[in-house]
This record gives sequence, structure tokens and C-alpha cells, in this order.
Amino acid sequence: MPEIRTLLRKVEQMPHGSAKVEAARELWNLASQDEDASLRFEVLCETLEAAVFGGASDYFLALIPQMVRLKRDHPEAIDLFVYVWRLKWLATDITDYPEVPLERIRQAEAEYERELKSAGGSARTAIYVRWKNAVHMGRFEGTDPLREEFIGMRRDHHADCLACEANTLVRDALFHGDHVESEKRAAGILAGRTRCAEIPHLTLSHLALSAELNGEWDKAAAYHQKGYRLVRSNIKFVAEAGLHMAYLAASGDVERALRLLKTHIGWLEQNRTPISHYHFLLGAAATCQALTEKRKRALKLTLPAKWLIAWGDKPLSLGELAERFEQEGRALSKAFDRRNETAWHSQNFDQTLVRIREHRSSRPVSLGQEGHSRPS
Amino acid sequence: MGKISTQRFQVDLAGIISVLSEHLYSTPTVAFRELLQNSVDAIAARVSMQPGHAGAVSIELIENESTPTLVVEDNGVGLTEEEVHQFLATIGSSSKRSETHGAREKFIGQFGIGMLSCFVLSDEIVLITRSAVIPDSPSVEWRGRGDGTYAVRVLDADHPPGTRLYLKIKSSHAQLCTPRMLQQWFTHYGEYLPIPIELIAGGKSTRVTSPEAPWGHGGMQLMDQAGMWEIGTRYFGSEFIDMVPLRSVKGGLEGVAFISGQSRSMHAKPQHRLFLKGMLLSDQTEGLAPDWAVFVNIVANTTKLQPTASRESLVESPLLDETREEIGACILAYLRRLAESDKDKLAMLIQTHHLALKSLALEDDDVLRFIAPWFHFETSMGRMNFEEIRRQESPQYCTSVDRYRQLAPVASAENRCLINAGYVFDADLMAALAAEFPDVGLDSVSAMSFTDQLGEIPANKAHLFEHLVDVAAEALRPHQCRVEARVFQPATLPVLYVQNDAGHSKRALEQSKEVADEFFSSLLSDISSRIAADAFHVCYLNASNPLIQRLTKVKDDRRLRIVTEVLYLQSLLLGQYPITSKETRLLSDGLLQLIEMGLHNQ
Repeated sequence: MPEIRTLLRKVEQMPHGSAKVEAARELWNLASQDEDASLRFEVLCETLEAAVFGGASDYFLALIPQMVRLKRDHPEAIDLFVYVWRLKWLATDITDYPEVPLERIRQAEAEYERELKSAGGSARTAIYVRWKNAVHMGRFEGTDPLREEFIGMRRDHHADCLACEANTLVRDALFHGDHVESEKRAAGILAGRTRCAEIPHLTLSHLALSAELNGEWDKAAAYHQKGYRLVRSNIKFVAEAGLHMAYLAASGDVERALRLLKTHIGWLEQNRTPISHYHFLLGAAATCQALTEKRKRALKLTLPAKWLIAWGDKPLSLGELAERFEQEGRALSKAFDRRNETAWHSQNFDQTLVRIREHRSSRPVSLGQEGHSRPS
Repeated sequence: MGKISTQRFQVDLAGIISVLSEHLYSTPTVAFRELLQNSVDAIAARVSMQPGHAGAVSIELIENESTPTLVVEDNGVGLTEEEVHQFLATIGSSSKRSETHGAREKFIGQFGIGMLSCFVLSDEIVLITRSAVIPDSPSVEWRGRGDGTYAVRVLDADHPPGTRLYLKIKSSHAQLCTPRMLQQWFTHYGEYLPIPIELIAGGKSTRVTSPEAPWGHGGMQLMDQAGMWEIGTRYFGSEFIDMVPLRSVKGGLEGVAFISGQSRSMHAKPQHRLFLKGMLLSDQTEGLAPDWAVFVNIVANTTKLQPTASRESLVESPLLDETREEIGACILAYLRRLAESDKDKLAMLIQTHHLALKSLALEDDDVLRFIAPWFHFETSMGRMNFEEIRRQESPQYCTSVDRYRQLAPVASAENRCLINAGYVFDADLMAALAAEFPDVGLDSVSAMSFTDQLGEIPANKAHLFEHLVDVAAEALRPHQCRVEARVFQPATLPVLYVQNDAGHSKRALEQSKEVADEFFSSLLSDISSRIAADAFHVCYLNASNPLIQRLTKVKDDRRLRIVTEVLYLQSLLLGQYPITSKETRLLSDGLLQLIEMGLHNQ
């Protein structure tokens, strides 16, 4: 049998995605029994990373207590920097699950801050995490001072990369409905000056829809063309695939939107992150709504098992599908809003669907032809 | 309100030189490049004013003192006294940005910091120059020192127009200035410069520049194939299987891409040898080709791409993006040509670089259509390419190796085409192919949708299995695994255990619960219901299997429980699932009890 470390190097070399998650998981199954605690830690951290960047956030959350236990039992085997970095993912990724109460999120933020401090990190990243969580949860009250505070502090090696920070700033502006400001904040990303494993992928998907709805069709088309290529082959980007679908539905390229729906709906079985489903459902509902304007026939999709059980495996009409996607999206929105004690997710879901519908009906098709070309 | 006074920053030249030598430039030898660059640009400036001027550069090594002196001379445009003050004494000021000396695009340098790099090699730079622009302009001597001071004087002696520069090399860098090293480094940077460069060192004179460049005029037309192979091997030290001429109009780039004969990781950062107007920018340039093109190493010359201030890499810009796309198009056109003219080579190339080409096919639907027939996949009916898969009835694909392993024996026995799309990019490739070729009926298969296709037990025999299923369900309840009896092939397989990806998360969650502290216990509780709702794991008892059929006749429930538990745990082991220590104990106890029962019956 090949040595675990050799296999680990191979897994490290794989591009992020479901295949890497599977390989890392198998490797962890193998390594978890190894006597060498530092090797176990290395493999576990690689597995956690593969899960985070490969769309398996539930596996990440289910597995991370084993890393914490490993540190408790073998503090000498731990690379504290790597450990704290994964706790940062935990402190932010748990907001993606509406079942995790606010109190737990606060505990995770505090736990991260404590470990960050013990690893010699400044308070900046802890403040950034609190701000980012608040933005992602739509709890905007009091976020501006937090933002100013972390921006005013000196970065250290625990900070997210510049591209990731800039992307959160862009989303902050977008969630406030300020498209112009979001473009300003995205300038460095759009010029290619700041990029990373997930940026500009995330930024472009949000901006494509926002630019389209704000009448900047050429820009929107360019964001879509460039952005979709980046996200189309990693199930991590379920949300982004949904946003590109929403863009296509808004721009009137509904056949292309349908193609994205057929291509990516199977991802939901493997990437089960609720917040990603939220964005995907928005795109799926917008696509099916747009399609009902053109044709009525039933559509057979490869649905995730739980929907297959709930909805049956009979092909549903486009109208029925639009309704089901909308219902699922609304149910998720409500779950998030209940936890977040806001109404942001519901409002955003409903209002965006309405805006897409109105935009499509008022958009001059001839002017938007550029937006209809396929990424190639 | 107090009066605002505007002050100038003080610049510590010694500090800046330290920054240049230790942080900006990767090696002190870049000073050689800057020397060449200034000379070549000076000649370009003169040619723009005096077309037909025959430029020449000479480099001489004088070794008759304790430390060597380097003399670099060009017959370029030269400088007037005023220009000397303006350009040589002001950091960041460059004559190449002024319109006096011709079109900026003809120059290699432009930042006005190149001369400073010479202080890395020498404490003092002496420069004698005479302008070719102003008739009867006197010769001027500029003497600059590393402490930031300089002196200028007008010389009486007549010098030909151009510039001569003297560097007394620091003893710490004397080893860089041997005849052999100078030959090596000036050739390294300046081999393909369009101006003759002569090196006089060690008592002999040699030509640094080569008569022809790899990019020639129009790709490989000037240089023969053998010469190109030699260049590829010399520069990259790898075995290549082919080469592709490159041209990017937007990036003003011409060159050659060498196709590696070795498979490379998708994380590989191939290094390219990039020249800027004939001067080597870097032999470690990354990001010149599109991300998918990990299998090429490029030698190219650009006239338009922007270097960074250190001139060792390129500025990320829309122009660079467009250049990458044009380079990608050249490589793609090559692949299309191969599909027409050399199918064996294309097959070999795809086999070697399948990951890179799969990622390319995922980026571009046209490529997908053209290249898809060449990809091979593991299937329950043996290895097949996509053309062969297309001919199968309702082919299905698994998006994980794990699920494929579970289902392939059944699919194989039932003569169904099940594709293993669990390897890197394959799942997305299948989804893209399903959308691109809807007539194929290619569909992804989940654990549940596949097992839905397992045969039902005939109604008149269903009652025979009811008791067994009830007892087995009871036995496997603690494992949270459902039990169903179905009819499937191969009949030799008694149990089929199937779980989806959420099942893995659920198993991990169960394992973590055993070690979690209070906070994590609460967190795991928060998410457990969602994970459980998504998880799907079922143990299918095969009604066609003789062992299962015999079990329907066993009346002893205790014995049935033990057997089903052992069969379940064995199927986990066969599926290579991690089993907990509790499950290991159960398996061991179960086997012992079965042995005892066997002995007792004897």
C-alpha cells in the first residue's frame, strides 16, 4: 500500500471539487488509525480544506471536532496557524446553516478569537469575521463601525487574502442594494490585481446579475462570460451557478438558463450547503418562470433524493417546477430569517424574482443580444 | 491656522540600492540586463532619428587591477549635459518616457531605475556620453556614487556620439565578472537582441547575439525543426512530443509552445521563457498560457505586454488576458489539426494530458464537442470512449467512485452501462456531455435512483421475505440503516449496501460525537437533523441469492439478527467504509457466535 504521506501529496495536487473530497475522505479513513499524530493532523487538515473548497460543508462541520480533539490530545503535533485558520472557516461557515442558532455563532466567533489570540494573531481578523458573518446573515445594523474598525487595523498573516476581503466588501454593498458602490469596491478584482482560489469567481456571479438588473448589459454579459467559466466545474459553486442562471433568466437567454439548470441541479445532491441552495433555488425558480412564458411541456430533472421522495419522480410541468423551487427557496429564506432575526433573505428572494421578471419583460431584446452569447 | 509648508521627501540612495538588490531584483545579474537594455534603447532612439544607423554594443572586461572593470559602450543617441542632469540624477526619470528620443514603444525600459541596479555591482558608475541629436554637442562625464552624490563635467576630448560606461566591480561580486560568467549572463539576457553585441574578455572577442531567434518572423519559419528541438531541450530540460507556433496580435507576441511528453498536475505552474523586444524578461515567467495549458512551455517574444518594475514578470492586465486567449487559440488550433492529420498523436496527447484537456473541454463547448469522443471512461462494461458510450442504451454515470464501486457489480451483471465519473472533472464532463448530446440519454444516477431500478420481489413471493426483512431491520436499527429485499444480479451477491454522500457526513458526525466537547456536541446536534434528512443508506437483501433464500427459512430470530448484522458489516468492509471500534467488536462477536452455532449444529 502506498505510504499515507505520498497519497497526501497526491490529494494536495488535485483540483478542488467532489473528486478531491472523496479522495481526501478515503485518505482520512486510512490515516485516522495511524500512530503518527502529526500525520493525522496533516491529513485531517487537508481533508477539511478539500471539504470546504469542494462543496462538502456538512462533512467539514461533522469532521472538525476531531481536529479539536486531536489538538487536545496531542498539542505538540499541531501546526497552530493551520489549526486557527480552519477554526476561522468554522466560525464563518456555520452561518450557512439556519439550524445553527445565533448563540452558537457567537460562541464560535468567541472561540475563534480566543484561539487566534493564543496563536499570536491580532484582533483584526476576529473583528473581520464578526463583520462578515453579520453581512452574510443580513444583520446590517452596527456593521459599519465593525467594517471601519478592521479596515483601520494592520493586517497580519491570519487575515483573509485581499481578494476575499474585497469580495466581502462588494457583497456588503450589493446586499445594501448599492450596485455603483459594489462596482467601485470590485475595481481591483475586476482589473485582475487581486485574485485567489475563489475570487473573482464569487464576485463575477453576483455582479453579473446586479449589472444586468441595473441596465449595464454589456458589463453583465462580460461578467457572466468570464465568471461562469470559473465556476462551472466545481460543485462548491452551486450558489454561483444559480446566480448565473438568474442572470440568464433576467437577460432573456432562457434556453441557456435551462441548460445550466439541467447541468447543475445534480450538484445539489453533493453540495448540501443550505445558503448555496438558497441562491441556486433563486436561479432555478427564475429560470422556470421565464421558461413558462415560452413553453409548457414537462421537464425531467435529476433531483436530489429528498425532493425526489417529496415530489415523486414524475416529470413536472415548468409551472409546477417554478412553484416548487419558489416554495423551497421561501422555506429556506424563512429559516434563515428566523435564525437571523431579520427579514432580509425573504425580501431578497422575493424582490429579486420580481425584479428579474419585470426586467425581462421590459428589456429590449435587440440591445441585449451581446448578453446572449455563450461562454466559450 | 498655521502656515502649511511643503517639503520634499529625503531619499536614501544607499537604502534604495539595498531594496533593489535584496528585494526588487531576484539576482544581481539583472544589472547586466539593465546595461544591455540602456544600450539597445539608446540605439533605438538614434535609429528613430537617423534611419539606417547601424547600431552596435561592445562590452569589455578589464582585468589588470585587483578588481575587474566592466566597460559597456554603445553608439546610440547619447545625452547632452542637460539630459545627464535630468535623467541620470533623478530616480524614476527616464529618457525613454520623453518624446525627444523617439517612440516609447520601441524601448525596452521605461521606469528610470535601471541604472540604479548597476550600484549593486559597483560603488561608482562613470559614464561618458555625447549626444547624437545636437550637432557639436560636447562630451560629458557623469560620475555617480552609491552614497547618492554625483559630479558632472564637460570634457575637452572628442568622443564619438554614444555612451561609454565604466563599472569598477565590487570585490563581493567579482566572481560574476569572469570572462566565462560574462559570456554566460550576457548571452542569457541578450542572445536574441536585434543589435550586434560583442564581448571582449579574456583576450578574445566573441559575439553575444545569435543570428536568428526562435520566434523568427512568423513562428518557426526561420529556425529549422532540429534547431527548435534543441532549444526546447536546452531551455526546459524536458522531453517534448511536439511544438506549436504561437502568435498573439494583441500581445505582439510570437513564439513556440513545446508540448510536454510527461503528465503534469493541474497545479503545475509551467515556466516560460519570455523575451521583451528581444531581451530576456525571465526564464521563469508564469501565467503566460491559459490555466488549462499546463502541458506547454513557451519561448516567445513580446513587443506589447507590460513588465513589472523589476521586469521579471508581467503586469496582470486585460491585455495579458487577451494574449492568453490568443495563445490558447493557437494550441487549440493545433489540436484540431492533429484530429485531422495525426490521430495517433492526438490520442497519445489526450491520454497523457487528459486532466488539462478535460478542464479545457469544460470551459468551452466547441472544444467539448470536438474532443469528447477521445476521452476514455471506466464503465461497468469495460473501458470505453465516449463514442462507444453513445451507442449504449440509456447510459448512466455515478458522480463518485465510491458509489460506482457499490453499484458497478449490479450494473455489470444486468448488462447496464454505468460510468465511473467520480474522477477529477468527469462528473462535470458527463453533465456537460448530457446537455450537449441530449439524444444519448446520458443521465446521472444517485444511490437512490439506481436502487429504485432494482427488481421488486414478485407479489406471490413477497410474504416469504417479510419476516427476514423485519428481523434484519430491527437488527440494523441502531446503525440507522434501512433494510429492503429486492431482486438483482449478480445472484452471488447477498447484500448490497448503498449510501449517498450525506451518509459519509452522517458517519463522520457519529464518529465526532464520541470525541466532541460541549460546544461541538451542541453544534453537531444543531446540524444532525439536516444531515440525517439528506443521508440515504439502505441494505438491500438480494432475493436471488441462495444464502438469503435459505435465511427466509430460519425461524431462530437471534440467529437471523446475528447473520444480518455480520452481512451488513461485511458489506461495509467490502465497500471500504470506515467502521467504528464498536462495529469492529460487533463483527468479531458475530463471527464467533456463528462459528459456535456451526460447531453446535455438528
